[in-house]
Amino acid sequence: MIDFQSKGHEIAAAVRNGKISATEAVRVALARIDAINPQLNAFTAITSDRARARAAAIDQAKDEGKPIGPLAGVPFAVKNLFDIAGLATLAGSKINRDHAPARADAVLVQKLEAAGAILVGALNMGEYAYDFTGENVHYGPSRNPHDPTCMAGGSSGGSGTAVAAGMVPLALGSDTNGSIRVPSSLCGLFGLKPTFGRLSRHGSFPFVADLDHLGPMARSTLDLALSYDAMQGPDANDAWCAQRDVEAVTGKLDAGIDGLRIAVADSYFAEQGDAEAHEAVAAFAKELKTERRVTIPEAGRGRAAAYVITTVEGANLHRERLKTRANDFDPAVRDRFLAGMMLPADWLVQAHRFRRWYQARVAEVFKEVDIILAPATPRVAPKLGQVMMTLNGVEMPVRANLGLFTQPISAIGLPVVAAPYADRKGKLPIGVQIIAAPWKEELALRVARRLEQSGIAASFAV
Amino acid sequence: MSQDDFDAAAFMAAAAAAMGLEIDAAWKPAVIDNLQRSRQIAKAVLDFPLPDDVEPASSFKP
Repeated sequence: MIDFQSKGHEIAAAVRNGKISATEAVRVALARIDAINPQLNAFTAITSDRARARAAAIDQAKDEGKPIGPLAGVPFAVKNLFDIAGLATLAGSKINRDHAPARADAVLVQKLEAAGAILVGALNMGEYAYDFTGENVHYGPSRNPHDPTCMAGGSSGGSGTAVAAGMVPLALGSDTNGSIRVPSSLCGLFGLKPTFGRLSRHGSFPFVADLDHLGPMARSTLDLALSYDAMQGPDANDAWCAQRDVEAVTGKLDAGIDGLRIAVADSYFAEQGDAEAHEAVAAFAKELKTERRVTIPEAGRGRAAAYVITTVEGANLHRERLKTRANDFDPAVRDRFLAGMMLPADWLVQAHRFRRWYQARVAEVFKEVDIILAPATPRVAPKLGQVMMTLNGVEMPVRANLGLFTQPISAIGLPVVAAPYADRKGKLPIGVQIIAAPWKEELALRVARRLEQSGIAASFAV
Repeated sequence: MSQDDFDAAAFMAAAAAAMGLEIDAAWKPAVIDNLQRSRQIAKAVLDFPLPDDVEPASSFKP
C-alpha cells in the first residue's frame, strides 16, 4: 500500500481513508531507517518508542471518530538543532552533548504533530550549521543517496539524506545562508525557505539571529504546502517571528501561473557555475514560457554582507565556548569562528546598512516581476572530503562556495522554493531557486507545482 | 586600504590580546587564512558608498 517512495500526502490520505493505519506508516519508515541508515548516516537519534505511541494514539483517535489532522500518520524527522523533549539538542556539535535534555519539543515539531505528523528522529547536520557540505567531524558525513561517495549538502545534510533515501517523506531543516536549498539541490528534493520571520524558531538552537530561517524538505510540492500551512502563525517567543496570521497555501497550490511575471536572474547568477546549473534554469524557463531576464542589483555584495553578518554574529553566539572548549569544535568551524570573533564592529554595521540598501533595490525589482529563477547550487554534489572545486576556471573552497547562489537571497529574507530538475538521466541531481517577494510563498509554490505537474521538476527516493 | 596593507597575523595578535582570546599556535595559520578571506569578502561591502540615511537592517522593536 505504501512504501519508501510514498509522498507524505499519499500516506496521510491512506491513513485518513482507513487503507493503512498510522502504526503501519511508522513501521514502514522505521524499517527503512533500520535497513539503510547505517550506510547513509542521516539520523543521530531514532525516536521509535515515541513514534509508535504517537501512531497508536492517532489510530485510536480515528477509531473514535475524532479529527486526526491533515498530516495524520506522516513520519517526519528534524535536523538535530530542533529541540526534542528528552534529548540534548546537539546542533551537530560534540559540545552540546553536555546540555540538559530539552524539556519540550520545538514549536514547529509541536505544530506538525498537532497536524497528525509523527516524529521519528533527529537528523545529522554540519556543526552549528556553519556548513554547506553535510560533513561532520564528530558524527560522520550525511551521505548522498544518489551516490553515497558524494556530499548530501549542508548544513541540513541529514534532512536531505533522509528524504532522498525514502526514510521519511518529510524533514525539517534550517537555512541561514542556504542550508535548506543546498541539500535540496544536491539530493534532488523540493525545499521551502519561507520569508524571514514567517515560521517560529522557538525551541531551535540558533546560528545567526538576523538570518536564521526554518522550513520543510520533501519530495512533492503538496507536502511542502501541507507542512508549511501547519507550521505558520505568530509566536511571541521568537523576537523576529512576524505577527502575521496564517496565510494558507495548500488550497491555492493549483491556482496556476496565469498572469505571473517570471524572469531569469542574469549577471551574478548567470556568470558563474557549471553548465548543468544553468541548463536546469533554462529548462524551467522554457517550460514557463519566459525569455525575460532581470538583474538582482549588487547580488555579490549582498552575499558579502551575509558572509560578514554570519561570521561575526555566529562567532559571538559561541564566544564562551570558543574561550573554554575550542578543542571540542570541528577545526574547520572553530577557525572560521575565531576569525569572525575578531572582525571590526564597523564591518558588521556596514554589512547591516548595505543589507538595508540592497533590500530596497531588490524590492524595486519585484515591482516589475513576480518570480525570479536562479540556480540553487553552482554544481552537483562534490565528493565527500573534497576541499576545493573549480568553477569557471577558478579554484575555490567547496565549503564556502556551494552557497554562492543561495546566500544573496536569504541575505534579505526572500521566500524561495528549491525545485529539482527532472531530466538528469542517471546523473546527480541539481535544483533551481524559485524566488518571490517577501510574504509571497504562495507564488513560488504555485510555480513549483506547475513545474512538478508538467514533469520538468521531479523528486524520487533512491 | 588595499588588501596588501592588511597584516592579518598582526591584526590577529592585537585583537586576540584585546579580547582575552587564546589561539593555539597550531590553529593560527588557518585563522589568519580566514581573516584574510573575510577581509577580501568584506571589502566588497566596505568599498560601496552608502547614503547617510541608510540605517542598519538589524532593528529593535520595543
